[in-house]
Amino acid sequence: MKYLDLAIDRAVQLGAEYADIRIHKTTTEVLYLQNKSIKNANNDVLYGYGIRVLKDGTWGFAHSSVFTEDALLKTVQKAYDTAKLSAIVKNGDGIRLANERSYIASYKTPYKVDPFGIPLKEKAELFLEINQRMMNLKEIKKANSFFRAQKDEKLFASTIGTRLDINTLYINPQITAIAISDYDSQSRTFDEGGRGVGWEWIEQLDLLEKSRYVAEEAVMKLNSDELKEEKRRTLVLDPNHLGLTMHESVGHPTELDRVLGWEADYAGISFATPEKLGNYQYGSKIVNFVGDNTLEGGLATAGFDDDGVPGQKWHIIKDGVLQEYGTTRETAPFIGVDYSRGCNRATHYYDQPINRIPNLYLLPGKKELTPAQLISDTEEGVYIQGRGSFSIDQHRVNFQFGGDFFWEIKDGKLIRPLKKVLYRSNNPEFWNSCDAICDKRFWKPFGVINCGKGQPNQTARMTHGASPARFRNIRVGGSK
Amino acid sequence: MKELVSSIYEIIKKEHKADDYEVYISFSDDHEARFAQNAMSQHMTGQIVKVVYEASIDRKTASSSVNQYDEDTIRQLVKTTEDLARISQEDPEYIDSMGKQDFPKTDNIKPATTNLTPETIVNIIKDAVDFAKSKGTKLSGIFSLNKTSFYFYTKKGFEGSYDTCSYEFSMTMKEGERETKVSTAGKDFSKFSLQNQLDQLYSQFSSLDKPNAMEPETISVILRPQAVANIMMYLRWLLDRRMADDGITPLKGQIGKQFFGEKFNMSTVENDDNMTIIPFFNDSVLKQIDWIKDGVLMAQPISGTYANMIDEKPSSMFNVFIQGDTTSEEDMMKMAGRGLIINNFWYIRTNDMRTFDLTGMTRDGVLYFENGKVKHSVNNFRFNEKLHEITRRIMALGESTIVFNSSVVPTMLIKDFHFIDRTNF
Ligand SMILES: [Zn+2]
Repeated sequence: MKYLDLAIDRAVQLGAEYADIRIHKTTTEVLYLQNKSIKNANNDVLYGYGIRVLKDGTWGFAHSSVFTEDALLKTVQKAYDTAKLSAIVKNGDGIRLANERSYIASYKTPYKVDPFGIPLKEKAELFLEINQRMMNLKEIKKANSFFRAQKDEKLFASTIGTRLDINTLYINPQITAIAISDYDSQSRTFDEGGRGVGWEWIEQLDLLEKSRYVAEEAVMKLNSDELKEEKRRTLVLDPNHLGLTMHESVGHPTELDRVLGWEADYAGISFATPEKLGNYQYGSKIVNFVGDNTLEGGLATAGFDDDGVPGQKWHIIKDGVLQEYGTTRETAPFIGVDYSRGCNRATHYYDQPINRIPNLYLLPGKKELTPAQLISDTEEGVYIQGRGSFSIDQHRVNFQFGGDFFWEIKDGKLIRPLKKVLYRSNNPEFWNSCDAICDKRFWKPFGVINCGKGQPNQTARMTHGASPARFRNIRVGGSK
Repeated sequence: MKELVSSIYEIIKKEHKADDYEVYISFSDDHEARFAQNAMSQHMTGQIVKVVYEASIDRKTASSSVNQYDEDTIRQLVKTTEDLARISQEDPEYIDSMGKQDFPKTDNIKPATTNLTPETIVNIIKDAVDFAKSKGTKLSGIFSLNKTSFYFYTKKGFEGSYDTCSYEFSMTMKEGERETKVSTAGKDFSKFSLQNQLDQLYSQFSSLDKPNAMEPETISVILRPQAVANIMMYLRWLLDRRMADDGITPLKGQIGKQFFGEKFNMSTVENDDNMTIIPFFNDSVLKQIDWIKDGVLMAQPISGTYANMIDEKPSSMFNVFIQGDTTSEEDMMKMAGRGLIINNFWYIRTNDMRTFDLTGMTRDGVLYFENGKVKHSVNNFRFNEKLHEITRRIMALGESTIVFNSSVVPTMLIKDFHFIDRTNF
């Protein structure tokens, strides 16, 4: 596309040390139903370009949605002027980008059935039927379903000669039943997060069947007991729950920009500082976390990031020890590393990319172990499924998590459902208390589509994953 | 701008075949300068356009939006949306769009704000960073400036527009374990004083030393306005009438009853010198409303759809004004004797909506006071607390001040605040 060359040529002419342009079109379809009412049936398109210029060691970023040569050149000029202006507030020589070669490449999310090609009527009928079935149980007073499909079409060019054509797609179905009595209200949700796949996933999922257990378990939860007291207990956590736990307690603290203090004013910093690399026992010996932007179906899998760095796979925690961060071309040199792990991503065309969590997952256990064996080997504890409330401090040390469904474990058996369970732990206690992880047959991904970070806030997506795992001696109880 | 918007709207009026529609058009100019560790880190500028068309045909509704506004795109927008609506499902809760209505005149445009230049913004940041450097500290934050023009039309006859301008500035000062933040916002930049912000920041920073270890307990707290705004913000969402009637929150049948504490007053105002005043939204226009008066629940936000179902008028919480008083922090410390001063809360989430049970953590510095005097700073804590019960334990209120651009709240002295866990920093 001629705009790519035009922008890059002008940036070079102006004297940019580095520049890139991202022409980015985001198309989103959202369907949201409450009971039998369609609350949202939306189709949104955002189309424009963002131009990033590095000059005198500082950034300028300008965006526009006007596709004329004149507007484009003005936007390049604005990015350049903004960078020059910024340069009066910098440390030393400012920003230096890690080494990277140029690429001419394209990427497309592999999928079979285009979700945008399925008529709204068909989608709406499916989710109306789901809501109706959930409401067939008399205690279910509210049934919500949500479907989101998003495609991002990106053209990228940079002054080092990279030219990329990237087309990604993901979908996310969610269904929730809320059981309400005079005394309480409790919900149960089916949500595996988003996944970089087509509508074929919906066909495999059998959401109508899922709606049955969602509704039944909402009612079970409503009528269940709470834990009376907080005490040290064993936790068995399913992959769907662990997705969020690892996001908050491993993903964010290993973003290098947070480590460097670049998010100190809002999202926060990190306890996992560089002197801990290679020696800090983040978790027990069986805990291995991998960053993997090549993961099939992964939400951060796009071939390349918004620096033009290819997707990679690397250990962030190996045999329990903090190994490496998720990095960008801009952040890596600050810890003396001259390559990027490819974690720079922007949400929309008008966002300047920032250091994000990659697809990040817990490797399965090496020994054969089924979830049934894991539970039968647990004397007393709680088995948590799905995600509930979550809160963590700005250094990513102390946290409290809830869940979506809870079973009390006694003498190796699930004896009764529970509600309002919360556990409190911290880094490095939590991952060091992990004493068993089921094997790879039970590994499941969980996609996060709403990771908020940055000022102004940007919403990123990435995939996590795990096999069910056990954690010993964690404070588990209720709110008090 | 007006002519451009009219021309976009004319295309929609001409092209549409829907029984009913709503059209939103906004032009938003943003300038955001971020700084971290004493250097500029991001600097972004540009205009974001949004054209939203929501159409209803045979009580079936769909909506689409685009950010281009050439004639072809707008025609396509109308066609796509109406095609979607036709193949959607009839909505049992369908309501017509808002009809012709008057709405309050707003006074949101302030020349000191609209005339702000990128040079001025960068110089403010430079001065602030130079100050931080002179104190041997690291400064991070953001200055953002926004100018928006918003237009709203419905087929049933509502036509309205408003313009806003606003700025936000925040700074976090950090050195070793000591870290604190100030932030300010408003529509009128002539009220901004960098010196005042730096004075406040440095006085907060100086009051912190290496935090003493303190175990969580139930203790009196002085919540500074940022902390109050961050926790009371949850009422914007949890006060909703439908969630109450459905039994999702504890407010079913509580209208007219003393559900909150007697010292707690919360309203929405039609005028304010500092806050940006939004005069209408999709199903209601701005009105002065007392939501909670002397602790009695007087009114609840009701969506247009639900208002129609229960035969009430729709209402929204356009802004939050929590009535303050004149008690100084010194007097609060004397009243409480022993307690904590909380600069801010962080990562607040609901544990349980039915009981308004929230969790969250302290941030930006916690001070311990005894015998009416600040003794030293302490580590951060986690709380688990029920929102309405907090208001029942309000002992005293300070003066109300603007936090964010849509809330004005006071400092609060709360007794028996329930902390359950602590951090090591
Ligand atoms: Zn996140």
